[in-house]
Amino acid sequence: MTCANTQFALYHITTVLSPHLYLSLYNKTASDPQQEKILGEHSLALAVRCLSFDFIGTNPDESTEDVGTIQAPTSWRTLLQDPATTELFFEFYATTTPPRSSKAMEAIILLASVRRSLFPTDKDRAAFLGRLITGIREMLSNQTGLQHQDNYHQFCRLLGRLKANYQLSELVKTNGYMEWLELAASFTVQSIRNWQYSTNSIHYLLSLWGRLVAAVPYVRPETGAQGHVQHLEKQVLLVIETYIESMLGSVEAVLRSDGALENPLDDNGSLREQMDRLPVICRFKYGAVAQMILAKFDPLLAQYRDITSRLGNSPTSSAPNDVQQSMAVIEGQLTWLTYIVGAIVGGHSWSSAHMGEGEEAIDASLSRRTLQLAQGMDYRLTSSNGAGRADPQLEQAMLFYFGNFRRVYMFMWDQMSGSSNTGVGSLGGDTLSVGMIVAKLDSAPSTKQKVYLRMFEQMGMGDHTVVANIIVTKMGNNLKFWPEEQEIVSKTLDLFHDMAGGYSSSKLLLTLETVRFLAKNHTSDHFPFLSIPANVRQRTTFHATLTRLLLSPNGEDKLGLTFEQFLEPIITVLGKLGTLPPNDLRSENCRAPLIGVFRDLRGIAASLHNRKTYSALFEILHPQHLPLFSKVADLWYDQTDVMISLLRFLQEFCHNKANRVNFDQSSPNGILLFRYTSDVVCAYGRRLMATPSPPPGDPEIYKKRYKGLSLSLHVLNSALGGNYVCFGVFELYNDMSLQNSLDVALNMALSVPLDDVNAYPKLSKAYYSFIEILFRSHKKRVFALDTNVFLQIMTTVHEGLQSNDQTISSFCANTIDHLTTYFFINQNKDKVEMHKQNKVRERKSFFFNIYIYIYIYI
Amino acid sequence: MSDVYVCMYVLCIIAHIIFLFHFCFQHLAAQPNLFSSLTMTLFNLLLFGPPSNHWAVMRPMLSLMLASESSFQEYKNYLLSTQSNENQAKLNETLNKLLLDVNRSLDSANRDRFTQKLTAFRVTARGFLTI
Repeated sequence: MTCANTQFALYHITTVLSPHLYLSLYNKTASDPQQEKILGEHSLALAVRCLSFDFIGTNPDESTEDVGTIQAPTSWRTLLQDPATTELFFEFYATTTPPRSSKAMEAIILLASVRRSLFPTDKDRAAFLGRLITGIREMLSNQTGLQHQDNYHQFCRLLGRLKANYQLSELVKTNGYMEWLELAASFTVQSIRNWQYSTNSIHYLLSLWGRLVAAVPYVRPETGAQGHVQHLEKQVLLVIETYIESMLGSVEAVLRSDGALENPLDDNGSLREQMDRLPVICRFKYGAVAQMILAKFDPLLAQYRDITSRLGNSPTSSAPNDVQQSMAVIEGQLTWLTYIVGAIVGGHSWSSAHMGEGEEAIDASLSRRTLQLAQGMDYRLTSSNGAGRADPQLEQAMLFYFGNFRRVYMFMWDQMSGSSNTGVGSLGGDTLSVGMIVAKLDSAPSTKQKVYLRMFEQMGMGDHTVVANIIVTKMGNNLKFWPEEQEIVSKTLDLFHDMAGGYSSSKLLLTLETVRFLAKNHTSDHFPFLSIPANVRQRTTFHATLTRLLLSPNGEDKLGLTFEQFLEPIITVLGKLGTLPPNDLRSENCRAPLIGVFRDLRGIAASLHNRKTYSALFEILHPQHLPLFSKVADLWYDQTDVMISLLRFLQEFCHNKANRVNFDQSSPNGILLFRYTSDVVCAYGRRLMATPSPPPGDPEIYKKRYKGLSLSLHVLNSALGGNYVCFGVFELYNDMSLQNSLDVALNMALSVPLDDVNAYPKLSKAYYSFIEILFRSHKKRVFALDTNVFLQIMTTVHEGLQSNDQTISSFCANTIDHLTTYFFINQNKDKVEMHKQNKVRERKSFFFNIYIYIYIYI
Repeated sequence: MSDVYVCMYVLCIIAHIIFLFHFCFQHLAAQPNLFSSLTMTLFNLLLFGPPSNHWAVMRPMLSLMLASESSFQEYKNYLLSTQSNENQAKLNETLNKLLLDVNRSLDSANRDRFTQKLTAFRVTARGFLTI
């Protein structure tokens, strides 16, 4: 069916459907209630499906919950515009129970999202909106059906949607807008107060308020009802106040419920959604909102100081029960406040439209509290040598705040301080006064710079270097004292990685003592988190970040460390491992060092972005340490953790990104790199092929077999596709490494049953990209295959072509292109001969003889 | 002596190339409908598949068509046979347009032209085709 036909059919379905709905609603006496129920349910489901049809093919992911605008075809106009349609759904909602009523609500949400241009005039659209608002208002004032969880959730979505499709100026003009606003506000307040039942829905309500206030500047105050802006301000403040109160209150309620209530802080998804909505709403009346927050923050901070000083160096868990309880409440409430402040500060806008309103001063006073809290937590943690830990959730909230602060206030360091200014950030050290920074500016500061300066001035914690130092020191201590708390370690490292990625913040980091310490002591002796097996991924991030900093301009000078010195601990381990005889190398003591070294090296290799740095690493590893890799593959082939670490490192190491694997013309390094890679793939592949495959249908088969298999294909793919090896030389000098690795890889690829190739997405990517490279650059190897094997490959390619995954289908399409292009070109060259089919056999044996003869002879 | 080597080597390479092609040809001879089934799949994906895949799908279509012109003819006949008389005429015209100005070569200009034609073909054909 074509698109036009589908639309036509859908329209017919809906037109037929609405009489049915009527029937089921009004002819209640006529039909059996059970049947009617079923009929109603199915017609509604059908209506929802029809309305949510992707008419113009722009919605690739149908799983997302939020609908965009619905591009209903023009022929649907009469039906959708008909007041009876809207009323029908509202009425159906009012007279039924879930799941039918919530389905009806879903249909209303979809109706509310119908595209603007469907309506012939603005007046028609306004009338349509009027009907929606009236319907919603009635629902709000009668609380119809809202006691049902499903209805309630869908209703919150509807409220959130309404502003998304209609502009505030249009809403304002509708009849009874003020009343609607008030009802919506009291509904929101009520929902937030009952957070236990509505955690999933609060962010829809917040998004309604966010969208409403965001639109205020675009509405002239004189349009619509009198004083609607003031009315909105009042309602918004009420909503925010309730939100803060209720969330702080939730801490105690959760504690007292003794596990019966779910902590809303544990629901990461909803928490993030809520925090996303907050900045716009809170910045609408920022001053007033900040006062509310400070009124909560200051007493809590004082209580926190008090209680921590009483606890001294002992951990919270050793305190008496009542102290523990009150500590939990204080920390929980501080967690909420830190999240809220983090979200709001992160919403600071540097666009000129918003600058100069003095918002940075409010940001500063909120940040001051949060940073003081961070210092307090840090002091307690370090002075008790890791015993006096804060609540992990509070630590995570702090990292959330740091991340937002970094985004908004850590990008101007290099413009504000001269590069000569090294070593300022020694711990608690000399503070540059703000005035001195101003003196450093060559010319008069821009508005942006003034705002930036005012922020730090207001904060009163010292200049931006000092503040950055507080943050980074805290992060360093997180790494030191929270080794087993993966969430904290990984979030800290992600933040560190982000900081190192920014142009200005990376320069800033290089001046800090903490960073210098990290770069010089990146071993598990100083940072125990490195030795915890669950943190292997974090090792990679950690080393990637440090390498990035070290290799940034002047990084080696500023950190007082060369790349070689930085690598020393890793090379020492590699050296020790390299001298071990096979039996010792396979001993259990080597497992952790091997994994660690490969993970670290992978991170380091990932941060090499140019020829110079890549060559530096290669020179350090070659020739002494490269042979170790294939030895490890041969000995540890059956241990997934070791093999995965090795293969992932190699995949990174062989990857010619930004053309970094680019040696001198006379250098054999590219070929050597391929050879060592080939050795690893061959050693592993041969061992793997000699191991019997787990029985088909084994749920662990991916982990046991395919993960390593697909990784080794990936490794070979990056080496084959890297453009740094002239593959002709292998045959020329009778070097078997190319042929061997291709043979082994083909064996591995073909050992996977067709169903499994397509069942595991990661495996299929590796498989098809390998096949593509074979057809692109190694046709000889492909055509020399047995005909059946060749056709088996073509069958998988044909299958993969129809995959939903774009990368896979394009690998397959390219494979076909390589084959047919080759065929077409050679067909033309060979056309005359091709037609003489009867002579083919004869000629082949003739050529075969020559070929064999010459081959042997040479 | 070295001349002989060079000569041998060259001969070897030539033999190799011709040989390679015969291997290739032999494989394909074992499954004569490989190209036509691929043609069928590619055209179906182009006409009825998800839009995200189109660029990938279009890439091998010219080379495939040139490598096996009969497959294209076969598909054309098949597609025509599924349509009503009225649509057949339209479809025939659209298909003829597809090949207009496209010559038997695989240089990039010709490839690009053909890709453009395929895009146009898809839009037009989807307007009236029925399954």
